[in-house]
Amino acid sequence: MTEQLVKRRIFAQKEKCNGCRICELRCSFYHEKLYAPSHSRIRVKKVEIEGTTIPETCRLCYKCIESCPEGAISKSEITGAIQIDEQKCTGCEECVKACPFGVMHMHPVSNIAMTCDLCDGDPQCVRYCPEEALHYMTAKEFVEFRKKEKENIEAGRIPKHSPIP
Amino acid sequence: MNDTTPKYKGYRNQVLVIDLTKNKIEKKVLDLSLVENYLGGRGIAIKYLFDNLEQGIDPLSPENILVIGTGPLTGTLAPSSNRYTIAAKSPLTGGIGYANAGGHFAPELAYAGYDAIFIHGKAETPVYIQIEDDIVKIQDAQHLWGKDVWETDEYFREKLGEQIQILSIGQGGENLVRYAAILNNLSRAAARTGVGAVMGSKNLKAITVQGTGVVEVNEADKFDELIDETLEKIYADPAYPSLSYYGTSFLVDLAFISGGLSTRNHQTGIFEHYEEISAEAFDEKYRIKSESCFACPIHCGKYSKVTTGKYAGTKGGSPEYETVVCLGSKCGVGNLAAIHHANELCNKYGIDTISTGDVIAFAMEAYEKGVLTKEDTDGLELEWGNEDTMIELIKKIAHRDGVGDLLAEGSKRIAAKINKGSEDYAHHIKGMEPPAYDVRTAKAFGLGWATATRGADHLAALPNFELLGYEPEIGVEWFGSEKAVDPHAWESKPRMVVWHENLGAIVDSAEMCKYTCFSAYAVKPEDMARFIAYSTGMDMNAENLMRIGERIYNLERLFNLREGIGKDQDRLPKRFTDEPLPEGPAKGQVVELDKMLPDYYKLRGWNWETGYPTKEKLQELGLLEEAEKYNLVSRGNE
Repeated sequence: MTEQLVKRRIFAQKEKCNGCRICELRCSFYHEKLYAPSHSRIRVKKVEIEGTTIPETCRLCYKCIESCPEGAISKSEITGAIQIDEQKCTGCEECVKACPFGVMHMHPVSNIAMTCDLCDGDPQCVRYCPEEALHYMTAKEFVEFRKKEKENIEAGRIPKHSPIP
Repeated sequence: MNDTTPKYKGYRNQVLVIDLTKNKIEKKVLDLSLVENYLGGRGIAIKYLFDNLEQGIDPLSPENILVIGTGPLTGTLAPSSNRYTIAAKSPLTGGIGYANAGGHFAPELAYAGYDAIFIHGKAETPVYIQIEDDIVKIQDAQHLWGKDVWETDEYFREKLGEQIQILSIGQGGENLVRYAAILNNLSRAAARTGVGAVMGSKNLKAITVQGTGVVEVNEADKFDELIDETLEKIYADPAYPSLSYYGTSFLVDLAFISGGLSTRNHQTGIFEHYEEISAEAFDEKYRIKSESCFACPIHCGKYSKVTTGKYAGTKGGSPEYETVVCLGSKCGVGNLAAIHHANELCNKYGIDTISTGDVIAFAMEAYEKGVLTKEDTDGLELEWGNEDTMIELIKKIAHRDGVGDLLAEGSKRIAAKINKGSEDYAHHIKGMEPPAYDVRTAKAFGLGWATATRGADHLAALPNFELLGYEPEIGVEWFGSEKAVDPHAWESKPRMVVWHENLGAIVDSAEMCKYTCFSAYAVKPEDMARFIAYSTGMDMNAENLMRIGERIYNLERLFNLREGIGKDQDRLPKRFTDEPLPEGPAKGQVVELDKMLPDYYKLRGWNWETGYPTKEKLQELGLLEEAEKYNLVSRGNE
């Protein structure tokens, strides 16, 4: 019997995100050895005037899998991440329309669907976020983390705003 | 450009040359010798301006050229390397003008495929330049004239999408305020030397950019390893926690402790309300979160909101150190909410917070001395600390309304007009107003202000070395003297300043942030050389790189000399050389400028009598041809 998949995904704390977009460049560099937000699977949506910056990450809801008419999208058995079969993808963009979180994109050069593959279990955006605003955790772990962080802030052990690495 | 065009990686190898008079847009191949000798940003700007500007032109005439330049690391993950330079002949100094800003504009321009934009001429009616990858258009902006920077930003984001990047001017630039700024991301200002007025004089309201391309480097793995290595050094910098958490306003405390917190037009370095404008007060009351420039691990920028009191509703990028002081203690204002509001207004109108604060402080001193009266100031009372007056004056300056029309001219021209001894406390160097640190407490900074090519400028040298509390032996190791680590000492400071100025020219041309290189010196010239070599494929080492910095600095000097700005203007305002600090830990200190200047000239290879570079120095730097063109050679060897 195969081991039960422990589903970790990337959680973002938008209140900590400073909008530096290092995550975007880490993503494009890891996947293609180049620097380009347009090639990134993670995107930071910014509302300039409000100063809000929201890293948009894949929630692993799998709506894209259901939407694909070619059966080109599947789930990794190791990480649970979305996998796209580039041979089967026709670029019809049904998955882009189906994604509730706006994180399915078309590759600007190949016009094949692209989304977060969790870097095979070591997401580079999480590793390099200077604000520790991104976390690769199960839902339960993230809830625990938040609880602990809140306690630390209330006890004055860490500043009320973003942490110092 | 085709595949056989020789090119370096790291650059886009393409520039835009736009003539607004002729409504003409040209794409040109990046000249490789230009980047080999001048690297990027600030360096290519001075070379282009020196070669293409007519001598003696009016900076606000169509003959001026506005240069926007990025560098060999733009768009990459090299830490804090996504700034840009805007340059032109300065309407404030008449010499070389340039300003530098972060935010997210530079990488977007790189992803659109351009290293630089050279803007000539003047549009008949207001226009903006729209760039969408390879599509470049000059568009009508008559409906935007009169709008402030934030309204302009909102208009473009609604029209073209929230994620585009925008450079624009506000009323300050439109009304040719001599210290008008150009802004991106609402609060990132290319503020100094009046580049915003040059943009306004060209009837150019904005530049919008959307880029979907890529930036590739030559040796991706080595480049990436170097990034990891550099990140470790940046995170180990003792200033990192404060800088990343509070932003530069943590320097308010340090300036106060050293007795150099510029107060009441530099009358003293001790401000009685310093705690109210400190980083702790900011954190307690207004800080919301960090707001970073593109791909910067330091993220000194902060986003803040004022939610209560008479300034409730004020929001946006927080005032950094210079602004807190120039619109705070320098005017005697100790209300941080008022400073936030004044900062927001300067960003919306597009005027330099440093020069604005300094001009107002000068006017307040003139008022104190009875040289300006209520009759001259549209009935406003300019006593120290009057925040209502300060805010009213900002509005008047941006619109050139009433007394604002005079103040918009900058301290040097104001003093020439009102006279009555006011030139003694109208602080400026080469026509530009000084920043927010009293250099009587830090002598290398003092020398750096006097010699900076763009006028009173803390960033040209930024010799932080003397302030970092190093052990004396480190001073010996770096600059040959134990005195190097003592901010009150003048000995060894010329060497320190020359080294920092040359390095600073490279940092500005690579379009890195000075905080990576000048705060604990995490990135040294040899590290920068590696970044550039791995990015571009150029053969680069620290020595070559420092030579490029020296070349840039000397060409800026030649530009100033040919425009009539020479040795007699390598001076500090009298207050810093002749009036000892009256109180505090640096009581009695002045800047011993005349003791430092001869050594500085000698180290620079400049003639002490004339201030011109010697022929040998010009030859060494490959600048002889440039100097000969304007008969600048012989005076160096008189």
